Amino acid sequence: MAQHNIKLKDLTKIFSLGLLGKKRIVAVDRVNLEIKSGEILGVLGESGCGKTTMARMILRLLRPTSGKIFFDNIDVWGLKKWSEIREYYKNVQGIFQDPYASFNPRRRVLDSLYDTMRFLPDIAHDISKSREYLREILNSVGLKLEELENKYPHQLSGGQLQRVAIARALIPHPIFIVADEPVSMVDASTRIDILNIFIDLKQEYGVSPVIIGHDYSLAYYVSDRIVVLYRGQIVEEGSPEVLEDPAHPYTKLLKESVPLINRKWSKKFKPNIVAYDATVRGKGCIFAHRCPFRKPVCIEKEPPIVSLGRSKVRCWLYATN
Amino acid sequence: MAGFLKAFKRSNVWRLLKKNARFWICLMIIIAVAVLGIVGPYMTKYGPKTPTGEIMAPPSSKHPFGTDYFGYDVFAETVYGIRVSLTVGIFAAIIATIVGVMLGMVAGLRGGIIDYIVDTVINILLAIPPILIMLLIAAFMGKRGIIELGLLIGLLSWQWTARAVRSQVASLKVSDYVATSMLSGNSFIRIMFKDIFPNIASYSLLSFVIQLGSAMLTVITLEFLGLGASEWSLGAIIQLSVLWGAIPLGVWWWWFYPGIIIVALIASLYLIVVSLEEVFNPRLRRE
Repeated sequence: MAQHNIKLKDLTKIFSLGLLGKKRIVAVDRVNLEIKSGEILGVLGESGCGKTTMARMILRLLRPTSGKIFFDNIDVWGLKKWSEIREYYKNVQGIFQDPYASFNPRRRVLDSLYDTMRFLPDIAHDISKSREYLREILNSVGLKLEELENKYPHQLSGGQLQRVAIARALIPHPIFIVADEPVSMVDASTRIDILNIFIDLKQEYGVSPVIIGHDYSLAYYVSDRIVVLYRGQIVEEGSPEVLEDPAHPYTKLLKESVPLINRKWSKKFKPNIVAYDATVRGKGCIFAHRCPFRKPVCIEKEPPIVSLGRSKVRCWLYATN
Repeated sequence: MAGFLKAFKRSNVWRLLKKNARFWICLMIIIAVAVLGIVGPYMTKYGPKTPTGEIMAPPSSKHPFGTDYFGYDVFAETVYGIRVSLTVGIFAAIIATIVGVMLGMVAGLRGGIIDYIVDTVINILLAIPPILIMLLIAAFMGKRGIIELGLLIGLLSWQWTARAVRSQVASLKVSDYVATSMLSGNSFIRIMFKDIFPNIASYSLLSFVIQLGSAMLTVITLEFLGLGASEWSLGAIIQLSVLWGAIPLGVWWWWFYPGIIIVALIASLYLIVVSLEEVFNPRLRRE
């Protein structure tokens, strides 16, 4: 299969606040990333770290402040013609966090799916053919076409609806599916099922999901490669084994905050939570104010990206000079 | 459509509307006035400007609303006047609602330079009292028919609708389901009609009733100032009665009957808006 990729080059998004736009929130800060087809990329980070912003920029829903996004070397935000944008969406699809918010409450869910069918004109023109196609797609996410007949979004459960959302994204046989917290609004018991669907998609359809989330163990479970975001910057990037023995202090902190089945509450696990003003950014490391291993240089200068063999870390601790 | 009606009958809106006595009374009044305008001309043998030979005759079985200083039948004048005034008002309200909803949707959805231009025009129209512009243009208009006057009023009173629709659409635009719709490869027009419009349809209906009330008032004001669409209209009767001293002469029926119809019509339209707002806005519900 041909290799495809999405490249983010110095991708930055700054939101201006206040009357004159004096306050700035840097949501995504010079992110460089290559997303390759054939793997599941997990993007991990706490709330407000810019993961949703990143997803929306890749999906061409939010214009970046600076930086570029390339899909197979085509500048995504340089696309002007509707047909070119459609072609992009045929290859790159998205799933959102809240399944109820991502379907028009006034339309039947199947109508929304039939809309997406128009990516495949030869099938879409034939009603019986497109029904068969939909039935197949819905089967692959564990749903029956008959169950959805004449149903409105509020008549389905969150888990069902999120499967419909995945089915919708799957219709044009995209190369990438950017899933923004696909399981966070889904009942805990169906989470693994939905994550398994993503793994199946990769194996059966050759779709490469980009799964964005805040859940450490889920990211470990599903991903082939992990990216850890903090305040808009990639702080650590590597194989999922990185999560077993993290290098960056922030990833370590994340790992320690995961509640485990054999670990009861005790005074030992003090959360290292520091309130910070999102509009203020120092010139040093963005994690310096919370870092237990802080050195003077961390506040003074931005850390370099250090390659540690299996992962890349943005931290002064591993810098050789 | 049948499914929609069924769903509507089961909905909260219908349940609340059914109990709202004020809404039904006002609706009855408006329908009664409209029926009077439609059927009235067939109930009288006089035209609006047919001399009856009787001058300033009080209401009687022959002349239900009496006759005026010129010997015209006030009932005939009134029913023909309702036709003219109501037609202009409805036409103007339709124009204002369509223009307001369309411009608001395009501005809110497209953003950028289009939004900037629409917003500037809205601000200009909000800053200058539209009645002044209407007076100026109406006074210099060569032909002042029903269509011309309706267009004039409609095209100068869409600003509130457009502003409200624009802000609602701008917030709907960033919703996840519009994003999903874009990912589905739907075109701008399709998103506008399939995803955005159904969510502002109830507001558009409400806006039409508001527009109708204010358009009626504007129409009657212009008619009263002698800039009506026709020689006979509700406002024109009041204007003549004032000019020819109906009050000092004691010819109260000359202005009372058309006046009470104007008041009933506009008050009912206003109260219907209040009732509909109560039904659509959960915070105003009185239960």
